[in-house]
Amino acid sequence: MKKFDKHLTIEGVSAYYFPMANGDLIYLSIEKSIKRIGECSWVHAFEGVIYPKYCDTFKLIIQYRGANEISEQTKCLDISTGIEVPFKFPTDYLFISNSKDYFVFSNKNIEREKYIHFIKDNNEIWNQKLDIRDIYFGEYYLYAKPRENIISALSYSNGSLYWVFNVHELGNWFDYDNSIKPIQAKRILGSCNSNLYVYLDNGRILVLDLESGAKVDILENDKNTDQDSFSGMFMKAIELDQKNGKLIQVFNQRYTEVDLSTGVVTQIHLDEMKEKGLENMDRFIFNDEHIFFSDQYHQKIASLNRDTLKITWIHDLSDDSSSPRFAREIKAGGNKLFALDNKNTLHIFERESSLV
Amino acid sequence: MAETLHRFIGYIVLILVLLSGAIQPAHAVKGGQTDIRREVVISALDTKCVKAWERAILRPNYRKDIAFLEKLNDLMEPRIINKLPNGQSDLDDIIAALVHPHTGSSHPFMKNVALHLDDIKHFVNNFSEVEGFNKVVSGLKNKNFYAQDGVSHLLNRLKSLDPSSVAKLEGKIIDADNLDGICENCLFDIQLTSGKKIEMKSYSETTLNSIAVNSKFRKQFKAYLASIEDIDGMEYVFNRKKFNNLGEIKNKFKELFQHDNYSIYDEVNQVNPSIFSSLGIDDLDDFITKVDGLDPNLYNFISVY
Repeated sequence: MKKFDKHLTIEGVSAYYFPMANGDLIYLSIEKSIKRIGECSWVHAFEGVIYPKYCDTFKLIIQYRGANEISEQTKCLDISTGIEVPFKFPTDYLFISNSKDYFVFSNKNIEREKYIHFIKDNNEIWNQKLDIRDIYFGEYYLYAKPRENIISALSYSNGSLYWVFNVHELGNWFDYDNSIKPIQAKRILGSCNSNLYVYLDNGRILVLDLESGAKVDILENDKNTDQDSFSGMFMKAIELDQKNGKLIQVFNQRYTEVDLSTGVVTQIHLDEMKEKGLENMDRFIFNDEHIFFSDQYHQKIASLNRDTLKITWIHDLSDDSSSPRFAREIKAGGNKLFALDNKNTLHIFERESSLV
Repeated sequence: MAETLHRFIGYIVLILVLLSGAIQPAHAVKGGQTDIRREVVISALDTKCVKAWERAILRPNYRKDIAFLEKLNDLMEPRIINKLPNGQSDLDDIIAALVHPHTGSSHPFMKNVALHLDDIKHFVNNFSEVEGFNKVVSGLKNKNFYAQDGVSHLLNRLKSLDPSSVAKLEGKIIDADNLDGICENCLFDIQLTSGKKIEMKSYSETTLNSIAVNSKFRKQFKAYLASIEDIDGMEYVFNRKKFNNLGEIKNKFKELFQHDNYSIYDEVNQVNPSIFSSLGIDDLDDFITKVDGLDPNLYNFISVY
């Protein structure tokens, strides 16, 4: 991998930060003010609690709670000045998710029942009584995980339920301590070809037909039979590589891949990781060439070449063993890799060519 | 020559002690004591049992406990003892540190010493290749009562787990926790190969009553919440022998969540929003509703064992 040319650090950064296309950064500081740094800079401090939720080239949507209040409301800031501008929708609409074309907000009625509001071109298209945990914007439908045991497809045009799959149908599973638990959906991984892929808490992948919601398959890891209680499981750090039609995973110093056209699982032990003192038990990010992962235990971040499965870059976040630093989450944007550590320092690794 | 002489003296001393009635078998009953004592003499004359007795010479109560001697004998088998980092030296230190009740005595929550040695044997035999093994051995050698209690709770849990499910055994990782005077190096947690973190807590009811306001407990708890993607990524396992009311323990965590006007919500949300969003918590109002209503998904990380 081409080495990163620069390593910058910014202290006092919370988990809420947004890299801008021009290289600027907007973030919530741990002192609870919103800052923009770079070519354009401003600081906006509020009396109360704020959480920036969404940022584009014009606006920053924030969630705000006044002192001694418990309900939160939405405000909007002009991205170039940091000055508050009107928010078009009711302020109790809280930002949930967005795609290129759509926004989803949520609010509650007096009985605390949750509704989602579907926005397109700055207009509310529909709303539905729904308590959503996970949303995936498909080509023809909106897929949602309203509760732990439900996956549903909703119409983009009017929000009507197109199909519902009850994960409870899949029965129970035995956890590591032999306790019996109902199978639940943890995360919608995405879609590929005509299927929706959902990670289940028993470590299997539920495959649903995008159009009908019918169960197509349940994928199991048949290559980790040495894991006793966890044999058959894909661990939590599994991602869908839609472009290449694969599920990929780096976990426990093993690279696992599922060819979605055949369902064949391959698993390779990454001995080099052990030799270099690297471990990974968390989610990772990837591009066509590399997988970037953090090693909380050894306070490192590293990259793995996807073709050669060789480690191509390691960065040690700790320079003082008495005060270890580890990355809580890593992100990529443009030609930069971002790693926020446990001391609220944001590490920005930059190179000339794009990462994504 | 010296070893033979030493062993001979051991036999003589042991026979004299046995015949004097100092050693009572665990199953001794009135009327049958003579026969049973004869059996004990015969079995105890086994060379290895004498060796076990020798190793426990400085623990008068334990060295009279046949069940203890038998289990210690098992631990001294080369295939077990050679897995300890320093072999016999470690085992001697472990024996010297024991605080568990011997046969004939009891304790409100500590296991009988023979059963505890059985847990140690299982641990040494099955977990010696697991990262952090040596730290647990250090805990076993710690003479602090709470250290022994903590490690005993850990061994008890490990006994029911597949060794290949355990990725790490870790000593105190983030914060000191001196509740009940527990020493800094006597806390352990388990990381499973699935990534799940298991925090073992051997707390009395008195200690549990203080978790909501104890700053170190809160700090460690927040560190856990900040480092996991969703609530299923961790589990707090309490010692049921010390306090077996799961509902009451959940109420103590409810008090912790409510402490300082639910301040933990913003403290965690600022560094790890995903843990709350995965629970369908979109704002403080949602958090308060789930905390006060003892939402099962929120409190699911608490168990007793």
